[in-house]
Amino acid sequence: MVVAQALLALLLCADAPAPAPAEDERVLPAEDPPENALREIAARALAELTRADGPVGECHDDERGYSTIVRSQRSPRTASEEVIDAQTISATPRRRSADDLLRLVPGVLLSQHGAEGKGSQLFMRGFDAAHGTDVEVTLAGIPVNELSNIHGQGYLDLNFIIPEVVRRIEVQKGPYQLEQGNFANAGSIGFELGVPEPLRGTRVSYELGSTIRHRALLLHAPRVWPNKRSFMAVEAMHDRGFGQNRSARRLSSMAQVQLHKSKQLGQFDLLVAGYLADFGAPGALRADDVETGELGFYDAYRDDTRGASLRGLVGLRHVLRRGTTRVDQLAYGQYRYLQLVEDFTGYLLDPVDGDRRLQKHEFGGVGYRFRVTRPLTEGLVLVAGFNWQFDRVDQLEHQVDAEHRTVDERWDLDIAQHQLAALAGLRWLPADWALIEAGVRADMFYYWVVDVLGALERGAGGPFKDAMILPSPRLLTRFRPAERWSIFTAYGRGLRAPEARAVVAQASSEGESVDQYRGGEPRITTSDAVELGARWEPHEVVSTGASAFGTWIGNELVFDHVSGINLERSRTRRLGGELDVRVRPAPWVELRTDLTLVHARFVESGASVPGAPPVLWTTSGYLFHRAGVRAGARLVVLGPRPLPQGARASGYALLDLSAGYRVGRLQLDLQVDNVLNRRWKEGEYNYASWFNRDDPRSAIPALHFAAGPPLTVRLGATLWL
Amino acid sequence: MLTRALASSLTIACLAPGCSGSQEAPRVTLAVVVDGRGIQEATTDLGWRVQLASCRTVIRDVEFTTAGEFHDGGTTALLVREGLGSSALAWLSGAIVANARAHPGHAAGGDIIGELPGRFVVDWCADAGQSLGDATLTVGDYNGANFFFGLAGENDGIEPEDPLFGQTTEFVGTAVKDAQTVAFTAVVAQDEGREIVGAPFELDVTTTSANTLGLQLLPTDPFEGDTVFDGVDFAALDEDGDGAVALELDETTLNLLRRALQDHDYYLVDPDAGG
Repeated sequence: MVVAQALLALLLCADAPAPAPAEDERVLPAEDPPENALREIAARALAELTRADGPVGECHDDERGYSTIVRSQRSPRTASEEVIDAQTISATPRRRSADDLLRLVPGVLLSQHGAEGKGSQLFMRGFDAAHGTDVEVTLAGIPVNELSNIHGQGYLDLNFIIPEVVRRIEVQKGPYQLEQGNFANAGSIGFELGVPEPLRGTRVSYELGSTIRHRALLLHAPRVWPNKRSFMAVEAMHDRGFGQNRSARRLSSMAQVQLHKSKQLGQFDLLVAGYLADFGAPGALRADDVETGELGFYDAYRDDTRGASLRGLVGLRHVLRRGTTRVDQLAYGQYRYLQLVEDFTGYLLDPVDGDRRLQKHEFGGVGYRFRVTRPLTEGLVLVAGFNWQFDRVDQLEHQVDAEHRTVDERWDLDIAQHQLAALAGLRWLPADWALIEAGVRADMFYYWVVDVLGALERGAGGPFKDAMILPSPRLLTRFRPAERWSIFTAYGRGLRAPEARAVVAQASSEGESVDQYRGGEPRITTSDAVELGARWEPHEVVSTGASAFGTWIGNELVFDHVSGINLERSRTRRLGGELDVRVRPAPWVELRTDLTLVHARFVESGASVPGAPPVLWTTSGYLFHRAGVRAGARLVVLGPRPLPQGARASGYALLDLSAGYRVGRLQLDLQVDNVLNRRWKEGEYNYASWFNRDDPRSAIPALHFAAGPPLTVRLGATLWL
Repeated sequence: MLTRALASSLTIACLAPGCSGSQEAPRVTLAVVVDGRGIQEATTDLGWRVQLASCRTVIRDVEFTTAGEFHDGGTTALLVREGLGSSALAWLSGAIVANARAHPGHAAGGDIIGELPGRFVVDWCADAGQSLGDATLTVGDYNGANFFFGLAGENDGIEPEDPLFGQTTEFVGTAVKDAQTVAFTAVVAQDEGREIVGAPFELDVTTTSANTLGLQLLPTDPFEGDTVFDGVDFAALDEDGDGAVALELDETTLNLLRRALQDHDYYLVDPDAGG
């Protein structure tokens, strides 16, 4: 199918260079033909699994450096599976960082209450996933979620990923596929790196933004390199931000190179990344303070609250094909440091020194992933593998005063944690029109925690140890009852491991046994999720899909950082539907609209799950013309959201635009965020605070918000060397 | 909510790009009074029947809390912890034995959504029905109340010669056992800012609620049957046999009282104090 696509592309644009084979590792390469009957069976099975969606080849003027783009996408295995390609990424509005690229994922809402550099808050399928609690993210197969992060379980910081080297974003909503592991209750998002053929070469870019943003990029990805995933890139950015205490700067570098490729030893790819950033932490404003004019919409209470982030990452991937067996190994290691000083409550907790909070989180980790795919018989493929990751974490949290001197030490933990997963399943293609995939994975976690403060203050510092294991069945089917129809069903159990602090949760409170608190012991939170969907492609330029999903969580464990006690949240269920329509009236135009509706409730009380957006509607259009013109537009409509304790967050509609033009070696890009220059609240919260000590103190929750950016313009110039 | 949200979204998209209005949680104002109905004769574990004639306490900032969504049971998913066997036992145990519920009012799960700010010297016996003010409560399902202790001073209207001055609580009463009667006084100081967390308060507050909330001291714990004066042997403390004792003079007794008064079970907010 890939070859057919290439031929189609050649027919569409005979003078363009021949396309490279699609780089999806799931695609059988043309130079690796079947050698025997079993291999043919495997080829048929795998080819079916990797069938492209339709004729999507296109041409660009070769003189302008563009060539044919073959957008190869394996057939989705679930109704909501999605692949976002480099072409769409290159034209999307608002692409300041990889964090921004998550906005391309239908049904995902991002909210930033810091400055660029802090991880965004994510919402997906009725989950307020905070900083990544319920959304699993990987980079080239390497887990990015940070288990036991002091700022939030599963904390995600994607700002180190340079957007220009993201060649594909793979989205799997729900926990239906065997690969999906810890944190994938709402879904998984995978970033794959590389520079596609039309964009290869060496280039330097400079971007100037209306927020006094300077961004420079050097990207080296010569066409002569055999592997199109190879590149080297360095990015430097400084931005004053659109409001008080929102400045950010970062230095990021990434390189991915093919070290070796041979039929005997297979292919070795090395990924190296380094990242350094600091950024403001404006926090949130009380809505009443803004309404009374005490503060401006884009102001901040504090100018000294900031964050710093550091990351080093290395990964070595090895892919080997022996006959019909495919072995995929990944070894990786990373170092990470995050420091935050934030203040969300003013003087509510400490009327004298204030409520500033210093958090430091430092860890070094190593991991290994092994996968094997082997056809067993006609149409039946075995998939098996295991993951292991070990982290050594040092984390602390202090209350600090305005000079950032420690007022109170709250946490100081030394942690060693292991994550281990084993999985096995079968993909069965009983006929051309049917796919059944079933398997089970077992996730194991082991914690070893020393409570440094506990040892000093109570003589009870541990080490505390705990281990837990959870089996997760996964099952999905796909049927094609008619040529242009696909029907999907899926079931899966998702999981979220507890954070290490839960292991040292207080054994008692006020002399009472912790046993009376359900959820007193740390354990894995599980979700059970189902999905039913269909995709209909009535015409080669039109594709529409619909899915209905449900997720039930019976025993969500929440570690209360204030009391140091594990709590069990009431049962929740999330029912929803997603609808998408994609139209490609010409090879260079793509229009799509995505609507996500979610009804997220606590089962017993019937109360809404706070934060989860009931309605999210995104409409976008992209243009990639051979004349060198690119453009993108995206309208996001968010319905009002429930907040804790009966408050309600506003909805908004936001329009972003982008345009680009390449002539010869020069490319110009324009991005305009919030074209209508609306005041919008990117994040809204309902909690108590007391910033102005002249006002009476109140412990009753009040509306707070984090302002979204006003009209912002970024103009970029790129020179191909 | 979903239909309304969808309609709102369409409105936002078509008519009003930008932000639609946020909405604070609805609030109501309810009167809070001192409720003397809680002051009843208490029979201690040593058999003393204690009757209070006067009981004053310095408190401040009454807060009303909800347990939110942290309080029901219902585990359905299979859990495996430290091996399948123990997990299965845990799951089976959870299925057979009723699950305990998270205690309302603790910082864990006890979100403050109502309050009566201010500082008060409450005479639980003499001030019955006296207004403490109007509390502001967000609409919601309430499960607990908190307040802070204070140390009495001139700003509270307590003169230096008053026994309560510099103290938190003062008791005056009598203890009777068999034919022996002992009149007692006691003054107890708590750390300034010491908090009572989780006094029972059950009320579903709606926008039409008009309840009067009665703050009570309960010398007898209605749940366990314990009393504030458990462990106090009044006869033994009356060394001179004059039938009158100052309980605070005995350190052990003082500590018993101090600790007992820190227990949230001896306080209650009655949502129907207005009758």
